[in-house]
Amino acid sequence: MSMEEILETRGLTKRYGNLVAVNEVDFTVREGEIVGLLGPNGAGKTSLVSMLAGILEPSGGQAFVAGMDIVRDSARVKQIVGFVPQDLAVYPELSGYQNLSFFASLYGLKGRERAERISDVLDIVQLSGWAGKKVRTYSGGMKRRLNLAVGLLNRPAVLLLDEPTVGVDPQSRNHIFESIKNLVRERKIAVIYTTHYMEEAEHLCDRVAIYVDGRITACDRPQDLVARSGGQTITIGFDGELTEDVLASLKGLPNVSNAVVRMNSLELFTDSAVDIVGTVVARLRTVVQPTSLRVSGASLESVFLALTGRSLRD
Amino acid sequence: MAWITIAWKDIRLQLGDWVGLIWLFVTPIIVITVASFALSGLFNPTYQVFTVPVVQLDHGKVANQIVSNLRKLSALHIETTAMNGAGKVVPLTIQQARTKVQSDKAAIVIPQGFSRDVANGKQAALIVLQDPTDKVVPSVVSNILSKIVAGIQLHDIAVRAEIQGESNAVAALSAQVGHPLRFRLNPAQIARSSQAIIAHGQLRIQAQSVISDAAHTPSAFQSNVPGYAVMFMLFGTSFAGASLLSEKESGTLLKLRSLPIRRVDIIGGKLSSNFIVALLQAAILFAVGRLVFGMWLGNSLAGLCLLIIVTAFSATGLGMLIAALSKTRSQATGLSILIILTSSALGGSWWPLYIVPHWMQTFAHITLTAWSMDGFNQLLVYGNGLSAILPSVTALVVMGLLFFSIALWRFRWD
Repeated sequence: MSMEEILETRGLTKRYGNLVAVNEVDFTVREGEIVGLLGPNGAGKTSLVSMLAGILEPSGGQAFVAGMDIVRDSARVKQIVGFVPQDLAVYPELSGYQNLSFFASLYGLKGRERAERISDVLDIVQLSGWAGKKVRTYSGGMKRRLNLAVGLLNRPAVLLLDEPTVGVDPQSRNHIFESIKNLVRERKIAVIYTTHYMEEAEHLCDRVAIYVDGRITACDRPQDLVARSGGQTITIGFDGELTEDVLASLKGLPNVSNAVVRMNSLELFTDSAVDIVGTVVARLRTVVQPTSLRVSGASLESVFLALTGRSLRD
Repeated sequence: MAWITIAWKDIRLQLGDWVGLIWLFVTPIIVITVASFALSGLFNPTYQVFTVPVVQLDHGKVANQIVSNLRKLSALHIETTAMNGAGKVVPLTIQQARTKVQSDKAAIVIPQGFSRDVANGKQAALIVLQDPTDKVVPSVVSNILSKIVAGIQLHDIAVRAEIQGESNAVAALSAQVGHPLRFRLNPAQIARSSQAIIAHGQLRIQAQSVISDAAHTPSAFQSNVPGYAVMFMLFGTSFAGASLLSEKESGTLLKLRSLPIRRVDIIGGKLSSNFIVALLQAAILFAVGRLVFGMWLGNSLAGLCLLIIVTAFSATGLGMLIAALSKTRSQATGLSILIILTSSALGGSWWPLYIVPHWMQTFAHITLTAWSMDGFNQLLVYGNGLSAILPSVTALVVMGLLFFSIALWRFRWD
């Protein structure tokens, strides 16, 4: 592991009985980098970050944070990892300040240091004016920001954010994004950000890992992933049933990276739609009746579809 | 009809929670069963057989006759022996009888020289050891004993009067006729002689309380305050224990587990807060009992504090165990209600254990309530000291440790 890499997994696996939630995952995260884990609900993202947070014990493989094994050096790893769970892990009947004070104490922070740290994280999430109020009076977005603040109390080197914007209004989402970007820029912390929102991954992450069925299918910069899948998507609606041999022949066309059928719609990924669209329609007409045609630029969503054969909302 | 739609939705939700349904129906059935067994004696058409320990320090003719007459009564089960430390059957001692009175409520002591005193026409007394907390058994035993004694007295009087009357009549007539004569008895003379002897009172029955501090007659508070204190400590600690599940459901437990702290710190923290709250709860209840109702707190404040502490400890352990055995907070609530109501009925929180059948008194000691109530009765009813509650203290500590161990073992962290 290079000096720059703060986190590395090697064949990390988590099984629940026969179910493999995390399947031999290998990846690295560098200091000052935001890596998005993009996958549908139930893909195993939470199991992966829970292992990295020291909550779940891996069934196999290894993971290292700053060179420390997450199982053997669990206590030391926890000191430098911040975890923001998907659920709001704060006590509604305590004030924001009391919540932070409680968690700060569990990190072993005392006296002035604790007060300074609380003040610091309240500034980061812009909740200083609400610190004295009970959390139950906060809006959903404010609770999310407090949830984030708790994860920052130990000034982590690695921040694990498990779907931190679920159910958040756009304004609070922007607050959270800005806070994360500032932290990465100013403190060079590494962030793993799980999400099933394509636009979040595209907007926020330096690299995106496409994560399906417990595996990372691809991991790269969003623009490189898009380029890899081809620059354009041809979407053709049709009536009838598309045969496997026709689909295979379409996939075999020059400049086509993948073709996926969903319901009565064909999505074909290519870097040159103009060159092949006529051929595609002609071949389709041999078995089905095309009803619509659309050509669009590739996006992370189309990349996801191209790589996994399904949409994030499936 | 919107209300039908809402009602149907709620019924479907309830039917879906099969665990909740079990508690809903099983809890009342179990509590009713326990309560009915416990109070079966009150509604039984046949009479209840009392066990009466008898300390027979005199084995003369009258003493033996009294014991023999007592044994003939089917309403009483007479115990004159006990096992000693070596497992041998030996005659019951006064000390053993005093201990037995706490469960049997009355015992009879026939003092040494009793038969001789009766034969010599001296004052003689039978002692009935009584537990003043019970108003029924001691008076039943005293009444039965009075009747037996009266029967023996009348028989004795009749025999003496007959002999005396015969003797006097024979002597007078023999003197007149100049040769020995025989006469029938004079009933009027026998009655006069008998009444004179009864009035003189050769045989007495003397009641003696087994409570060491006679100045403090137990009131209902001595039983109710600890009984309900234990029950509400159980409610408090079990609901607080379930807050661990609440943290699990809300996600804060997951967050706590991501911090550099040990699992035992999480459980220990929960446990300590529950324990402190249980102690405060008990302290307030006893303070109100003392200050508002003038309840006597016994002769050993140290013993009382110790018993409250170990009861709170054991109750906290039970609360954690319930949390560990439940998947959700609602399951824990249902299980808590089932366990607490059953152990309160079984263990003596609602009524004194001595009124329930003997098998049930023994069975009740699977609950911490029964052990705790035993201890509170020793301190607050019988005025005994620290040594008297050691069995209860030991049992409660062992139960508490067992509950904690199982809770730690069985709690589902994930």
